[in-house]
Amino acid sequence: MEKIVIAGVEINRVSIRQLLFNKYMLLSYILLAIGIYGIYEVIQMRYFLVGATAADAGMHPGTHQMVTAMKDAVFGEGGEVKREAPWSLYIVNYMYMIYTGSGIIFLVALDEILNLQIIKKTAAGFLTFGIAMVIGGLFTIMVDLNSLHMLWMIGSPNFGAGMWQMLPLYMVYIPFVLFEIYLLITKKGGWVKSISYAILFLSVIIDIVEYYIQANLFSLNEARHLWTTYPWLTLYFIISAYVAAIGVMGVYSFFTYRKVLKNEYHTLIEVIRKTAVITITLLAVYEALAYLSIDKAWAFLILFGPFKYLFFGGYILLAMTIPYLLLFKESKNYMTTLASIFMIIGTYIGRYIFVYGGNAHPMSDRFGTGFEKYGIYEKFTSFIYYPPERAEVLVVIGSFGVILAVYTLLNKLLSVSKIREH
Amino acid sequence: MNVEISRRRFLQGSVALSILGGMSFSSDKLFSQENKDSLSSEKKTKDVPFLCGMCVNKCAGFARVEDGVIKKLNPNPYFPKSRNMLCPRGNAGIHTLYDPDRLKYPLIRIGERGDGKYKRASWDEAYDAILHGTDKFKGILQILDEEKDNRATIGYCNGEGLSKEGFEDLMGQKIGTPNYVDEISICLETTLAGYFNTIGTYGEADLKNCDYLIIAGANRAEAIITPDTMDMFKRNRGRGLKIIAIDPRYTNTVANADRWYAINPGTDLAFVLALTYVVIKEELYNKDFVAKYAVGFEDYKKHILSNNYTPQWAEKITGIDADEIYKTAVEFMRAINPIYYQGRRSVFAKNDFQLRRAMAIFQGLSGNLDKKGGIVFGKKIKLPKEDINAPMYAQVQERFDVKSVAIPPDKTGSWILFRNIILEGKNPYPVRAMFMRKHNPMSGVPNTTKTEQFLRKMDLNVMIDILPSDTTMFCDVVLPEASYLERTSPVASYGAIEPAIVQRKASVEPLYETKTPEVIYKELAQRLTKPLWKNTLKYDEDVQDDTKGMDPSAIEKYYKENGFDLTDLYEKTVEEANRDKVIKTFGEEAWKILEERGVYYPNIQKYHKKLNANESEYYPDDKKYYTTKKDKLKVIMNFKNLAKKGVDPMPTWHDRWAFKVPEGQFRLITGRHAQFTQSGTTNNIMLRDLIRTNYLWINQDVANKRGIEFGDDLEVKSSVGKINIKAFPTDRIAYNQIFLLHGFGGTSKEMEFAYGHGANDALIIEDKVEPVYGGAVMHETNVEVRKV
Amino acid sequence: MNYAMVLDYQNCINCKACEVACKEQNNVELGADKQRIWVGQTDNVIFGNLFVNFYPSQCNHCLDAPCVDVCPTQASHFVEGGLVLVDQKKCILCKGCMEACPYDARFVDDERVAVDKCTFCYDTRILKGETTTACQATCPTKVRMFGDLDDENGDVIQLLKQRKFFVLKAKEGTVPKLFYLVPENDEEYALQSIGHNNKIYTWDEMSPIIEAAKAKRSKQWKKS
Repeated sequence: MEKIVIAGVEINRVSIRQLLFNKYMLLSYILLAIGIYGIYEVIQMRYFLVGATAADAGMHPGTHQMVTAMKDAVFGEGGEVKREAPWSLYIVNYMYMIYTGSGIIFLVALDEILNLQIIKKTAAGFLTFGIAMVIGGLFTIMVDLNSLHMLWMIGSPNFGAGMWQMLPLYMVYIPFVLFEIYLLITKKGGWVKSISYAILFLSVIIDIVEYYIQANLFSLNEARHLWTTYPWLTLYFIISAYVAAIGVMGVYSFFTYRKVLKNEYHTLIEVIRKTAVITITLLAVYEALAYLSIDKAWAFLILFGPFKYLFFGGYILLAMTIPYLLLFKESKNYMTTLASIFMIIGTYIGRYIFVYGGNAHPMSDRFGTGFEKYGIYEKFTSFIYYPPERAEVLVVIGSFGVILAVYTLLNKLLSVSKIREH
Repeated sequence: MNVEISRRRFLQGSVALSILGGMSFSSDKLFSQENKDSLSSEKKTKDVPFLCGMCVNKCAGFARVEDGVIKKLNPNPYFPKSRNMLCPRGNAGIHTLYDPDRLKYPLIRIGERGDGKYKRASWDEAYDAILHGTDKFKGILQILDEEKDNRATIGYCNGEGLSKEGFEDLMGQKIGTPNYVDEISICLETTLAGYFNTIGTYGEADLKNCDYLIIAGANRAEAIITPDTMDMFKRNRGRGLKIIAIDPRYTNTVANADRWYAINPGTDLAFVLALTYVVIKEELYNKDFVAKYAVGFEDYKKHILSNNYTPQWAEKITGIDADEIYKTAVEFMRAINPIYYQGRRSVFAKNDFQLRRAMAIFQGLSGNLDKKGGIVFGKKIKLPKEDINAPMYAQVQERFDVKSVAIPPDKTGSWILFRNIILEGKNPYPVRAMFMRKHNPMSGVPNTTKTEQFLRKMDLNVMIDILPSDTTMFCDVVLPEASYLERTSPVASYGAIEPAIVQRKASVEPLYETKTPEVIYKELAQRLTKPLWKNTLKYDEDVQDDTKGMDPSAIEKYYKENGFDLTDLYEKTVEEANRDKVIKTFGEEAWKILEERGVYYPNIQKYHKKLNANESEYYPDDKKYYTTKKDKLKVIMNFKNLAKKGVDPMPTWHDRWAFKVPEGQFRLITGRHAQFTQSGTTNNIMLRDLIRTNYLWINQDVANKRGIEFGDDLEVKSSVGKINIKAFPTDRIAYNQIFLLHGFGGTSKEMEFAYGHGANDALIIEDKVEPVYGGAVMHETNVEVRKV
Repeated sequence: MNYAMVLDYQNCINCKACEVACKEQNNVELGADKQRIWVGQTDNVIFGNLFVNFYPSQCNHCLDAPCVDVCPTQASHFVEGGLVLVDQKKCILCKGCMEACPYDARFVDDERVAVDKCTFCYDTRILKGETTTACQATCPTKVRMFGDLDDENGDVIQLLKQRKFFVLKAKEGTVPKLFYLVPENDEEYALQSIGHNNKIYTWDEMSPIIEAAKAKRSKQWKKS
């Protein structure tokens, strides 16, 4: 294939057709289309829902538009954000994608430091997929936020806020990872080789910083005791991200390296399998210990309350138990792939429980005499849960499209998934 | 019908008539014309004193008007009755003014009654339609012609309010029909009458100084009455006022009470009789007071003791533990200032008149009357009254609805009897037209089906109202009225311990093509007066005799002098009349204060002191009117004259009043929450924001047994109708009772916020009548409930 | 200046006048959960007796407010007087403040696409020279008293010095400024309406806590 070389990077000279109309891109278009429809719904809901205030009645007496708006406001479903549970599926997906993506990047860096040859050969592909996931996560959160006011992130920054710290973090993190990928896919000169370990260590540190900031973001929410009493949130995010990352790597390997690597594929799978066993064990130990320290109001809701099926049947079973049983002993490659799929689903459910669980215990027990209700004809509730809106689900599906598109484009242009001997 | 009777009709005063007259705000002639002061084009902010019109209380406030738009209603700290507060409804009053569904211009019906098809009309066309009718309905002239000027063929009704008397004056005094029904017969008629017939007043409970309160069947936390509500709940719970709540339901009042007895609906009389028994038996009553003021105490004593109204006896009837009754009676009499709260609201049960008598007597036994901390008579600041030159019509016939009741309330009648007699065709002469204002009998009068039939039976229905209510939808000509924030109302006097006069000023000009009620009365009078006069000349033999041989100018003079000129009520506008009246009585300074503050009472500037950011002192304690009756006080225990009318002269329990609910059925009770005033506030979006629909309270255990959960759809069926409503299982109600909030379930599609949410209790309440005054009995309907 | 509110919640009859007054005064969006202030209600049964508590509440304008800390754009900020306000044009709707608030005092105003909450009527009344909030002024039973903790002679301080009180979720360490007066003379009611774990304060005990929190955060108070 013809190549253009820029700054040592070989860029494939592919036709627009090859680049944009291959099967992966077509699949991503479908997913993106779904996501865009979701965004359309979000925009409709967020910016074109006619709200009504008390003053409107006096300012526009008797207009039909106001009647509709008032009827909607009072008798309708309410707006986009639920007061008692503001963070929802967007945050779940954002967390999942960002953490898992950086988990992949983190793990690859660790493996490289450990000098695992098979990972070194495949690192660029993994890293690229990792960064694609990070971008997918950012896509989700951008839809969630009110982008019209985003300039204030720069115009009026609050440096201490976890939410703000993400901004510089990703401004450093994404270029840094791209640089790593660059190093991997270029024909490296001597100076690069000499700093590669430094880069790897730096990469690990940045990953840890990232998880720390994310943890900070949650642990500042003093009121949500699930998040603040989950011990060592940074550690938890890292460990759980490992499991999810391994899952993604397992599936990624199946699609990308199964045929290319031939005999070495099993070596790769073995690395994944062993890492999975270790990380699952770590996660299991962590969860077991964690629930000893979690505020019992939340622990009860998750372990014995309405979340128990999701927790045990979803998270524990899919993310840990089944994969552990499948991977405990060396076996056929497809077992690892299967286990990886379970791990992906299981860890997603884990994130879901983490975000939704944090909001599940109502804040309304303000006087210490029980949960409050606000109108006589309301139900007392000791559990807050709103299933995700359709628009959210569509946007999440769209984020898969983003990941696929970013990855496919980079791969088509840079052949990141090519096996590279070092 | 001869002149004598017509004349007597205006002079005769039954007991009820005088009480009701005494209760309402000062009655003066009403004058018309819009307030030209409140031009809405001003580019600045102003605060206009208003009197709230969301319920009967008439609390005072200031409307914050910015660029001609009312932005906020704030409480008025100068009015001793409302004491610097506005309740949720008062705050939401802006949305009565700016209700998008308001009647905006006159309407004339072009479809069938009830189908909501109207054409927009000018005021002239609307008045013409009232006079001459259209192809869809007859005009009033034709009707009166056919009825030979029997003015009684016109019925009219009006809900409570400051402009109500103006309507009464026009319809009753000037046009001359006796057939008036108002809210009183579906409201607190027997309460007022019971107290009036026993202690001579309904009185005011001095809750600021009372220390022991039995509050039965009144829910002051939710049915807010000023100043009672504010006084009561600042001193409850160990802070000086012990509250014993008697209510079938656990209401918000109960939540704030020291004790609660869940009584069987309709058995309060037995409870009071048992309290009385304990007090008399143990001689706990105030002997000095009784000796001095009681009339017929010995008879009453004998009556109570010989009937053996013991707590044990009452326990079986009321469901309240005998020991608790005993304890309450003893505590009551040992308290320094105990009050058995009079309560208001509707007639609960057929024994209501006797219940109120028994309550008043029980209060009398404590001696805590006409003094600080008791039930007091207070004082009313007098405003001059202008005489009405009421004409006499020979052809007019008497009202017929209340002939069957013991003490006929001749002025206000009985809604149920009036309606039912006409429906049954038993009326001695045809009633063919209804003139209605600010009244919604489709929701307020039990048995909506009959009300609808009644309205359909009329040849002409005219409505003056703000909103297209259910009743409006059955009217032929609809005249849109300005809301209370758009009109200056006749100055009113509030009589109490701390009396004051108050004035509602228009905050903004009437919106759309609406007009203030007084302008409507005036214009209606102008249009009707000559044509009706011609009809009188045609049929009225007395007038014919009197005017025989007169030349036209002499007839014109006769017409004016004898009050046949309907427009003579409206020589001054409301603003002019208020001004003249106040300046004449209290001077220029008083008028200035009234204009500025909305409130005036002698020495207001000296007496009114701000205590802190929230509270004021209105009168120094020694200037308050605690004791005004003195030696004229009487507590009539044995009212012998009642016996002549077939009414027990002393409160007596009859077994037919026992609380009975067949197995599997429920007793229906209705009531209010603080966020709604009957059906009048049903389309208020701010209030709807608080309670979107009404629910059926059903006992939690019963609901569990029947598999009923919160929000389930239920069908509630009585002998007169059925409704569908959502379930609210709760521990707050007994197993054999259900409750729903009144004022919901409107069928008028023109009220977009109200339509389709909730159920109308009037559809299922049976139209039973209280025998003494003819009031509607609200709590004697048993219903079946099933899940649908 | 240090604005605060004292609530004699024993008076509350749950009429919700305050909720309506607030919506009217501040043009709060319509909708049942779009409340800047609210009256909460709990139902409990003890020995077969039902009892219901009414709890009027709103934003606590915490001196050590977590919502201000988490806001990435300083949309949530302090102003002079220790009020916590939201600058709606800066709100990116990250909803972090809603998660950080232990009192559920915040909600999304769908019309302005930003977070909204109680302002103690700062912009609509206090800056215009009035001394009461809308909720306080309208209350039939006069539950609320708004004022300045630094004004030794003010109504608020007088009440806090005379009466014992508690704050909501004191353990969260937010130093809230809604002071709930402990019901007087009715121990039974006090017991049923205050959780066992709530600490009861006197002004002497609370004052240093407030001073410490004020010293810590008052640097952030923006001049208006």
